[in-house]
Amino acid sequence: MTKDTIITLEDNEKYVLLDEVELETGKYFLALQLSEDEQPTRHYEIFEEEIEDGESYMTIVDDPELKESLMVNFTLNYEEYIENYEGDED
Amino acid sequence: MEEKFVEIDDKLILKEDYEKYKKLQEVYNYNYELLDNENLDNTISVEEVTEEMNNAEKELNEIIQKAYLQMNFKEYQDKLILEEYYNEYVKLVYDRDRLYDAMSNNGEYGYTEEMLENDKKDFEKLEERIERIENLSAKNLHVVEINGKYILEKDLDEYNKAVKDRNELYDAISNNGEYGYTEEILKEDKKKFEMLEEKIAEMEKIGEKAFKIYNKKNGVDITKGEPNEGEPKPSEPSLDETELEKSTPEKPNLGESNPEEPNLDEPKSKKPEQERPKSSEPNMGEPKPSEPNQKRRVKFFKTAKEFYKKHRKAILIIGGLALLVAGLPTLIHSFMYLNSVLWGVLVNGPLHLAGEAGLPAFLHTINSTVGTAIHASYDAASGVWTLANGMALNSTACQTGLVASLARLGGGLTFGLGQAGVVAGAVGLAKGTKAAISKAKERLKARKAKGLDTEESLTPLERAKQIINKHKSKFKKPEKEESEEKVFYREDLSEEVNAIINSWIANNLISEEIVEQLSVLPLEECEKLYEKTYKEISENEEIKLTTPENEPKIADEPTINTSLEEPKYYNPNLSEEMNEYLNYKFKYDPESIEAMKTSPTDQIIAFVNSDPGYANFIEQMKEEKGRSK
Repeated sequence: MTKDTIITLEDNEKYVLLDEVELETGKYFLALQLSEDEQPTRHYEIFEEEIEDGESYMTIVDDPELKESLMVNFTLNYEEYIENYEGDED
Repeated sequence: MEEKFVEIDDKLILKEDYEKYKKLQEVYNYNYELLDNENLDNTISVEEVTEEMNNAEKELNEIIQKAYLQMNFKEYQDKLILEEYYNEYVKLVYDRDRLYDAMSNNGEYGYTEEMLENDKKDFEKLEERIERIENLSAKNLHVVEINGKYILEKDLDEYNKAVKDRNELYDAISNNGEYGYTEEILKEDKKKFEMLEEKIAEMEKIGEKAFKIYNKKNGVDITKGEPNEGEPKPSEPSLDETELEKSTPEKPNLGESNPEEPNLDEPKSKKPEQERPKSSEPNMGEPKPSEPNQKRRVKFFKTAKEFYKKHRKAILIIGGLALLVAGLPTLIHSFMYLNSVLWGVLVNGPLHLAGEAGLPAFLHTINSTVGTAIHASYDAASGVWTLANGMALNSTACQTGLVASLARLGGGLTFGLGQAGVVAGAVGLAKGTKAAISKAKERLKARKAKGLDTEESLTPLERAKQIINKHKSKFKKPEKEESEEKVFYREDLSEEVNAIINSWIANNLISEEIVEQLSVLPLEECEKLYEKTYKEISENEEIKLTTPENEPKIADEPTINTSLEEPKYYNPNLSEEMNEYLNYKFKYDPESIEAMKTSPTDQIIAFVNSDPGYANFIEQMKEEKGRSK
């Protein structure tokens, strides 16, 4: 899975993957939950992706320290993103 | 303890490593200062300094890990105490309890007040030392989860070996016929088996206790905190213990051959190798039926391109900014390991914030200082309250941590993560965490090396402010916000009319062409158009005035006759036309209407006669009447 993707999980919850951080231990996503009609909600999660038999599985990261250190990376991503953002992508 | 370990910066290291540790620390700090202050001359590069600093950090971690592996813990009154402190601890507890009894019964002992006061001081000293030992012990309890059991990290290899040996022994004993065991050998094996069982149970018991203590001391929720969750250990036991436990009641009878017992060809089938329990497996005996963190399969996926067309600004810019603003304080916390209450705000805060308060936070941010924005954001997510509460609960830890962090932050993002790396690298952190810290650290170093982060004195908030100021132009308000701005204004129209036209624009009730016409037409024509539009909007709700074709034919054109409406002004000394004109002219200007009511009639007549709009009005009325005939 890559960022900028809308995923539907097996329980029909939808998320847009806003950002990703790839580490040697796995791939992590900053995700925003969407409503059924794909409108943004106010609920954010950090997912860890696992690939099994070619299928992608998402697990919510709830380890506080891991979550915290991923946040540092997501913040840095954002900082770099905004430095390159031209403001007219829309 | 005093002989084997020394305490340094809240860590225990072997006494023999003390000098080496201090020197490495100096090397680390020296190089850090070099980077931090950019005191590099031409003789040494950033890369060299960074490498030296990293090497020192690595060796520091090794020393800490080496010491940890040599620590032992003993249980006393439901607590696990470092063996080196154990005797002292037991004595302290005994003395404290005795003193407590004495103080409680001072009357019987015939204490003087002075004696009681002294005892109280002694009691406090004892308490302090006891707590110190408990904390130091708890800090060194690092637990890993394995097959649903909690084991001290330092015991892991031994535990795995014991499990493996036990399981092998079980197989051997179960198949005694084929091995041709003598009764004596079987007896010995059975004894070994039981000893291993006891050893395993003991390690599991201490691990479980350690897990509870660790979590309690470190403020991590026990039902959620699962160290190393999902990370298979290389030395993980290859046998599923639950399978063995199920079989335990069927422990082999000595010398008896049982045809139903497993033979050597089958053991694999009853030992699902490397099969780890699912996350929903009971944690320390506590069922977790509503375990929220289940692995969920991705059923469908698609590109978010279309989604971003609609929401990019809101999500990536607005939400992202909230993330940034709230995320930077998170960095401080990463560095200094503030208490868990603060963690709750700073880690959950940004997520909470970016979602729950992201949009309002952004609006505050672009219009105010970063500080205000953060305040508002946290306020919206109840974060201010929690943060303040965190401070109150543990003010010393928080404030010391924050002050220390802020004071040293400068290029100190690198420093902070460096420090975190030392601790993280030591023991007990999940691999993912180490990797995430390490990655962030590298990136921060790279930014600094590229000169992207040069402001030494910047605190995180200043940093956020700088980023926002730097990229202010990119943070445009969303379209809806823009449309709500006052985009139409004519000085010769009343405030009320201007406001009404703006409300039409904001609600997309009139086209750009009409707005343009309202702006450039001479006042009289503008007023006519305004009146016509007003009426159409009132009557038709969703009127479309986008093209001339849609405009009503002249025959259908509503007149400017306001006679249907109740006149707000009437002066019997004026002509009907004049009254009508004044009502028309000041229909949306109640102040003028009120002013006219108290003005002399001759002045009003003079005003109307001098008003070129009046002549046009009369003319149009005549035309209107002609058409209606």
